[in-house]
Amino acid sequence: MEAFSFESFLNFGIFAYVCLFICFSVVTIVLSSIEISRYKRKNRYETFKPLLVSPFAPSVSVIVPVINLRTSIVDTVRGLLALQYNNFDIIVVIEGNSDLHLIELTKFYQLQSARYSSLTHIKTQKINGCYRSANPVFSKLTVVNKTSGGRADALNAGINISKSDLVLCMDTDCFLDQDSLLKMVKPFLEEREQVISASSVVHLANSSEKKDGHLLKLKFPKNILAAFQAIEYLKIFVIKRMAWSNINGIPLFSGTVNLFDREVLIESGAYNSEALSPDFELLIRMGRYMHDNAKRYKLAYIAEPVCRIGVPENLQILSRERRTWNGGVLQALRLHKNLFLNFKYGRLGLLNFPVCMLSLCTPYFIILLLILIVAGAFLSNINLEFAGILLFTGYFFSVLMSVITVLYEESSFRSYTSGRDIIKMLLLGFVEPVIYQPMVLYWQITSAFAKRIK
Amino acid sequence: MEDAFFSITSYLQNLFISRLSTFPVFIIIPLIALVFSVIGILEVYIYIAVTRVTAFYKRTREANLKDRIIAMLANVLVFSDIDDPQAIVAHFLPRFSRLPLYRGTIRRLLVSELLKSHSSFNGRVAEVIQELYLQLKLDRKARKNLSSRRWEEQIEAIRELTEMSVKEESEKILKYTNDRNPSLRLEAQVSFIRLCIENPFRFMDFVCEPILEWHQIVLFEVVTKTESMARPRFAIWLNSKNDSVVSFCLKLIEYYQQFDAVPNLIYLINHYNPVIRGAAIDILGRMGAEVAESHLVRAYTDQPNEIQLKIINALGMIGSGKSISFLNSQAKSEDFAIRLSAMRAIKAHRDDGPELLNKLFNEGVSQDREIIELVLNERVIV
Repeated sequence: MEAFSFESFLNFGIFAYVCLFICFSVVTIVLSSIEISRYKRKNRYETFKPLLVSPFAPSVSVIVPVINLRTSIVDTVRGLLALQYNNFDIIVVIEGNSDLHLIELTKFYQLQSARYSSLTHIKTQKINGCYRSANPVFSKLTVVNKTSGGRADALNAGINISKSDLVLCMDTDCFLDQDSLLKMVKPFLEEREQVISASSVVHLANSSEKKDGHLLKLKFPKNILAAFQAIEYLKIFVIKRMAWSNINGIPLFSGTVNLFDREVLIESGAYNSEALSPDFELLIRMGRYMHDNAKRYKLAYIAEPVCRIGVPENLQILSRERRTWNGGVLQALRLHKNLFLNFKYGRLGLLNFPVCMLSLCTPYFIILLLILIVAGAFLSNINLEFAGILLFTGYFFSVLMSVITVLYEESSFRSYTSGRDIIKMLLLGFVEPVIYQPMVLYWQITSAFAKRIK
Repeated sequence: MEDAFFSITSYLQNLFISRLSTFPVFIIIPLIALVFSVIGILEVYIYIAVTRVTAFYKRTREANLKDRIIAMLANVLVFSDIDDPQAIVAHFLPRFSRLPLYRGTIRRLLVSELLKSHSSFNGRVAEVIQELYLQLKLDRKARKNLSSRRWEEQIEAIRELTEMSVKEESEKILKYTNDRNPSLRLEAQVSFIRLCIENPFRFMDFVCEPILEWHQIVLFEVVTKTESMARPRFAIWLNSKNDSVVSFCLKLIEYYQQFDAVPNLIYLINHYNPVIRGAAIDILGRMGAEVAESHLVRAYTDQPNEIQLKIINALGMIGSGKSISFLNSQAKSEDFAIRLSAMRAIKAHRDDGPELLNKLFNEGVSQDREIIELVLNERVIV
């Protein structure tokens, strides 16, 4: 029997990774294409108009935590007040240090101090004041000022104040489409199972034309870092999340904008203020709560963009954001580790959890292989041609994935109508695997080590 | 440069043709995947380019055709009130018949424009459009598509026939009102309500598939906006085994204020489904059904917390004063939500509610006083 050499070990290692990557990507693409076409077919014949005028439309609270806001809060609220829905209110939660925002809002919306009563479902930092407008035009607006406790704590305070059936938790720098609530509420009304959360495709707002809290024209980002993120967001939201939606799973990237069933949200403990990735952790906890109480549930996903978000154009901020995301996912998986391969939690424990863990392990595997290739090259112990073929296969497949993502975008939402934008996106697909993906890989790995050292 | 290109191509030729069979399996498979990836990338590029170009030409061609059709239709729509619709159609029919309607695109565009015009006009103009549609035998395809295997085609057919008021097909559409496909089912139910104005709710007698919340919202909109439709006593479906039918009827009973349904609503206080129970209690409250008060109080103890809250709210809305002592007792409950609701319900008794709350304020402990203060303050966010 031939000895198991370093070279064959390395070649099989790369081969195993490439095969796993290809199989995983093909399955993801197939599942997402099924989901997109199902969504499109289903909604082709239905309009959202009845919901706009219906007295039976469930009430929605839009909760906006104001933390590190880069745009004007007055404009953000103005954009939200223009949402098309007949039964909603806006709860702006200002964290303690942002007095300037409170002054701005008070001046523009003629806020007056108001007493409030709520059953405190979730423990939060102290609420210092509650404000409502003296002008009936802005009757939908409630502003809460509280002691600083982070985004999750601010959202929890908003959930405590809300009396609505559904709560929309969003990031402050989000631009919601005017019909976003109509689209996001619909799944709560049309599924046989109880829908506990709905989220949607997110596109980038960088370089787009904006005015008074409204996004006038969507444009492909001009900044190269934002452009890479645009491709990445398409991959995450159009391919990966859509595939997860097909199997009713919880995706790794769960933030930005989520509409929750308020009752289930409160019953399952709402946001964890200690979590680094509170949205992902919350969705796991909600899924867990439903399983524990033997209730069937669905996580709805809107297969069209209803939200645009500004992403960092600065390397330092981006790296910090990515490290926090990754650290948050690791933390959430560690927190709920007993779900792993647990039959009691069905698909959540047997498929969702292991795949999330596998996704997190991928960077380590890639780094290990790269180290082995470099070591092997120095020791002249590997067939460089074979290693090259395997790496090229990985590269071209990665390009194919980016190009297919652009194709999905082109044949479904067509958010970027300009031919020049499409060409830019297609060409970026060739550069992204060699420039942006290694950067993300580096941030993922350093975040894990930083967490461990801590 | 040229040398480099030729050396790469000769290497690739060598790799994929001469040496391929000599490689181990773990290299052959990635090589095949590599070729597939490159072909895939090229295909996507070509596909995007071709679809963009063809879509552009299709749009331009259809826009021209559409303009011509709109111009032809404009002539038909401009006529005097004294003109006979049949005569108008007879006059323009030869011109429309000359259109190559066997071509799918033209037929589709014409039907789409006729449907648009029909929904925008009523009276004689609508009659003329309908007559033209029938005379051109454009309904044939829709009638045939009713039995199609593809639900999308069925929906389009139902929509077309409904807009053009082809009532003869209503019986055929009726059978789809209980289809397993929710979109088709909804479309058929909407269509049947609009086509069969004498007995529009017949499908509720036998439908066993759920009328989902979304469907109820759409149907409610159609029912309340359709004029000249027979509106039956919806209480007759309150005994339905399909809970969604009961839920839908409850909404309509409240909207049309069918007070004769109150005894049936009282019966629903003991329904096995808490959602129906809760909805019935809410409606009894909103309809101010005094006769239900004693039933609500009697049922109170056996109910879960959320239904108890609904009962208290309903008693507050009825506000006859007969159940004020019951509400008074609940205002001392250990449960905060019950206490708050009971105090709100007491306040809703305009005659002596605030007075009783003031009495409770003087008797109560500091926590209760705080709640009463909140309840009495109109500006408080509760």
